Amino acid sequence: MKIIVCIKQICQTYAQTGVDAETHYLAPEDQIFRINPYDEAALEIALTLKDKHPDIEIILLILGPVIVEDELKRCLALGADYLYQIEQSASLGSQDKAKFLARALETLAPDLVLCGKESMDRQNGQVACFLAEFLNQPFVSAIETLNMSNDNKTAVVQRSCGRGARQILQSCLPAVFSVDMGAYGFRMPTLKAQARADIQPVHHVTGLSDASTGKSMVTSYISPPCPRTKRTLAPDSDLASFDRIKLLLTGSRMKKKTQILDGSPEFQVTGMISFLKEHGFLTPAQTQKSK
Amino acid sequence: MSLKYSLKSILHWTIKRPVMTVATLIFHAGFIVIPFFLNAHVILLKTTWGFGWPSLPESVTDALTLLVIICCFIFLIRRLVLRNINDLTGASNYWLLLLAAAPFITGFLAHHHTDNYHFWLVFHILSGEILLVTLLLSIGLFILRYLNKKFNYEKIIFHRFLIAGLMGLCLVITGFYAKGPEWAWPVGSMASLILPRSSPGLQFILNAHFFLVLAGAAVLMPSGFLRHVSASTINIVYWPKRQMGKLGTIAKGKTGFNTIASLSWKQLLDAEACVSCGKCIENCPAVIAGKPLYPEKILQKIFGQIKQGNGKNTEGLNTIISNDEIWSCTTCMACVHHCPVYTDPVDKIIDLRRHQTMCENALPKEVRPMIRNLELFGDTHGKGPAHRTDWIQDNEVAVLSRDHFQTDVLLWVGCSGAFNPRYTTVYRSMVRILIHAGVEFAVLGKKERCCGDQARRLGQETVFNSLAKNNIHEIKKYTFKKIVTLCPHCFHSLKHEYPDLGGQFDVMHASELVQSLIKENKITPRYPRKSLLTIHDPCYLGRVNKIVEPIRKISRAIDGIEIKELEHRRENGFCCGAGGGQMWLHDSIGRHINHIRAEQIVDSGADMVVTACPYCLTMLDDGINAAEPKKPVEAVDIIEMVASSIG
Repeated sequence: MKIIVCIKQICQTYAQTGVDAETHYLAPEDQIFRINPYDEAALEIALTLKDKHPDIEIILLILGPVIVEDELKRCLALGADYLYQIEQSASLGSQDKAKFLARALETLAPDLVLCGKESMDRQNGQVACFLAEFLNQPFVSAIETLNMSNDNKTAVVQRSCGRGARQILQSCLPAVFSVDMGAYGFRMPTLKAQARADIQPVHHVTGLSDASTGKSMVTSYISPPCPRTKRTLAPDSDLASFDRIKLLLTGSRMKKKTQILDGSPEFQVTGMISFLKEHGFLTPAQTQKSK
Repeated sequence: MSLKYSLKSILHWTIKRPVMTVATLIFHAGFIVIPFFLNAHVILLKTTWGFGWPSLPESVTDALTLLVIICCFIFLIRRLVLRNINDLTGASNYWLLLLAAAPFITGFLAHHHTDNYHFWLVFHILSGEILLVTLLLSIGLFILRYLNKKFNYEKIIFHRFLIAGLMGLCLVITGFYAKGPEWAWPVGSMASLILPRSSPGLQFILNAHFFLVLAGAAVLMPSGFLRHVSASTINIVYWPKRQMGKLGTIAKGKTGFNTIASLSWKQLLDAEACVSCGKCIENCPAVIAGKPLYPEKILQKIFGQIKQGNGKNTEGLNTIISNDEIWSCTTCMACVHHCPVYTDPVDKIIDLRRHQTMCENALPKEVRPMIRNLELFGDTHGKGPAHRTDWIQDNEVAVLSRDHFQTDVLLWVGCSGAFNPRYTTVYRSMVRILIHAGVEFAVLGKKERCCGDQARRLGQETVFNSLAKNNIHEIKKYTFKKIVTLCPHCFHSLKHEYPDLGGQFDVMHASELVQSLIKENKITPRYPRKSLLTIHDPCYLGRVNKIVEPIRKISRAIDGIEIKELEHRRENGFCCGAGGGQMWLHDSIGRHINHIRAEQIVDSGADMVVTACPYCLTMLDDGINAAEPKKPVEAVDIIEMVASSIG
């Protein structure tokens, strides 16, 4: 059985001490390059499976250049078997990344693909679901535990739905799962495994040069409106005490333009699209393209 | 005892330190051979018991005796001349040497009829008997200790004198019976007035008692615990070469040991030299707290493996030494300090930990986040290098950089100083003192990483290596006179363990610096502080690096301070329970070590305890709170105290 764990190398910014004068970006000491912790959790799930069934083969797949070699080697030392790299230097959106990964996965033909729930730098959390879409495979998001059936045909996963609720799902394989932090154990490599991993080569996934990099998805960054300044006027004495307190708390007399959508997921999605069109975030041309 | 390993060990030392090894071997060989094979002794034996054995020619025994005497002189000169050995020599060492040499010197003089044959002969018999009785006495004490582990003969001096007195009396009486009332036996001749004449049979046995004692000693010598006579002696000879608490580096790709085949020469010798006297057990904080560790048993278990075979077919040490034993050690070095033959159980424990961590993947789960923090962020608290200078708060501390690369004192902050909220205040106090004294100082700032001590003591050698190399690389970029640190663990690593990795720095503990500043009148403690103070000596400062006086001198320099010493003080300090990575390990078996120490402090009646280590400060704070004393006891750092009194 073959499990592929998709790994993203991220730049964790854990402190904001200022902006570097030369690069106009975060100060270098604020950055620590590491592997996305959710991807480490995905590897941990794969490794716990491997502890039970030693014939499992774990392949790490990275997209783009090798940035943190030490940490990747550490992943290999923890028990992963191979490291595959898709050579790609352009900066890509989630969908394009998923396209590249899907093409690579078609050639590698795994039984199970594990990804992190989201990356800690961008926090899009989209690659895994796009990947499942392109591979035409079932997808479960944010799983915490994973158990295989004896014949390796189905998997039972548990995911957290927030507020302490748990959801247990059964899925047929091959499938794509994204992994939440629940299974994060502090596995440590042994020195022997580390020495073995240090001399392991990086395999390249070739034959993806025909992949079109044409932008199929347009990302527009919308920053939320600045918070309204709270007017500290004395509340209108005409109002009732309840309204006066409310006025003080909300800061203004204006009503929030919030619209809560309820109903089935399909209805919510159509509602959202109509909202976006209404406010000009989506132009008719873009809508057609994505269709 | 594996012959192969013993011979290898002896050969190794012969090549490394030829003079002392050869001298020791000759001395011990002569010590056994001469009394048994001296012509005169054999003749004496034949006349009393009617049988004997072939003796060595007189020229050989003569030469051997001379050699033994020369060896004794070598030992004496070595003790007098070599400084580091002279430091640890007490009166008892000279007495022991005199005791061992006297029978040979007097015998030699008597044999060669120098001037007064009779005088030297009697002196010879007397000194010989005293030596034998001392041997018997130590064996007797050993048996007593072995039967009753709590028998503390250092405390109960009365017992010691009682046994010695009894032995001496036996000697005098048997001497009287054997020799009759002679002028050399004043006590014996007096006793002869009281005692009745003995039967011929008894007289015969008493006459031969000298040989009985000698034969008994000879039988005991090679088997059992007296193996230490050789192993311990060699161990004692080579002890001064080692810095206490300094761990050896390991070769690339090696991971500590699990079988005795990978032990070094010194470690094998340590295991053989241990006589399981139990002094380490009496002083080990883990044992006192009821944890499963017994330092002596670690050595004895390793020795058991050595006895079993040549180290290839024996099972792994992890089958006989449990994980609980290994992870209970606080590396406080109390066992090393108290060992009479200078064995070192701690470096074995660390090597076993290295194996557990780097080969078996058995590092306790609770410290793994800390090790991961060290790997990713380079500090034990996981805050990251960007926050390393947050403790400074305002800009009064210079940070070394490419433009500002020269300073007098490089203040080493360490993880506790930068991130532990309690200890950051102590570092700010230190900054105040340095500014007040006009000392030019700077910190490394964001370039600094953890010194790696905690990772190393937990067996994570790779993490220690990467951190230490990074630090050495950073420190070497700048020019400074000395590094000053407040943390004894950082101090020990920087001073003793970094040189192995190529970082030779002049390192000084802050208490030493502050003491010298007070001495030079650069700072004067102005405001008196009326309190009864007691001192907790951090292990890595007091015991390991022998820096005990500065804390006391500083305390005395402040008016109104009265010092009340604890029972466990100075080099004999009691661990706070946080060293050796115990700060991050779960302490589930037995009592908490810091609670025991806190109770000792509370019982002393002091209202303030002074220490000089971030870990000790945290542990004592917790322990004193847990002890819930009626009178509040405050735990402070020595630096804080000075800073508050200079105003």
